[in-house]
Amino acid sequence: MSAEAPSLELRPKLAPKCKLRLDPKTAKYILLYPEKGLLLNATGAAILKHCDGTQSLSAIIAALAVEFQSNSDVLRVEVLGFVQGLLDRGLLQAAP
Amino acid sequence: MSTEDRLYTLIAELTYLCPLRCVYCSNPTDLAAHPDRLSTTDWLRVFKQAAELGALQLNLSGGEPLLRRDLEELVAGAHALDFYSNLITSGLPLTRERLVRLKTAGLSSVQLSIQDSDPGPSDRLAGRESFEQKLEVARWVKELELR
Repeated sequence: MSAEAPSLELRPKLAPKCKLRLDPKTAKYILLYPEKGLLLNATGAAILKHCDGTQSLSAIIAALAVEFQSNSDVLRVEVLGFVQGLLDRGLLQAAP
Repeated sequence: MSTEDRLYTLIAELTYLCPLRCVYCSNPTDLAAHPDRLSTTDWLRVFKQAAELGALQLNLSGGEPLLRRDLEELVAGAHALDFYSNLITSGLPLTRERLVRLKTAGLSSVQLSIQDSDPGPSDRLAGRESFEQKLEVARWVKELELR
């Protein structure tokens, strides 16, 4: 586990082994990977939809602040924590 | 993934045929006693029914699923249903070209069996020479980002 928060310049993208899709039974998004799945809440799904390897974390936070009409300082802590958790688990990667 | 009572994963044993003879295997080898394999159409119907029951993951297993000539078609059918598809394989018989075709058809990941980290014991457990081919397949899997 990395203790450091990711850089705001980092452009996260889903690892190749991951697939993000809607689960029709729950109407929630789920992140699928070998033999496992991570059922996402609405905010988790909103973050991952921006993780396409083209947007930096600062851009993602700014976009989510608009989407959720929320304070980006509050969002920053939550987004960085979520993204770092998935980077540590190998489900997100830094785009080159 | 959840305690909710629903289907998440379908494990499809596509065939009992297998090029290996692993000492620990529990699948039947007396194939004459198990002549009936589901057709392509039947499997595609089963995939669709599983998806309707909530399945999101599809494990394509066997036997050795690569021995089905319709595997590309089954993978494409699973992809059309938005499955996360995982090929559980011995890696035999496989060429890089076929693995590319499977990926193009929508395969999500490959789970490769290796019987031992040393070639001698691995081949002995698998009942035939297979270790070097498995290493080659592992390289293709990494290269094609199917893991």
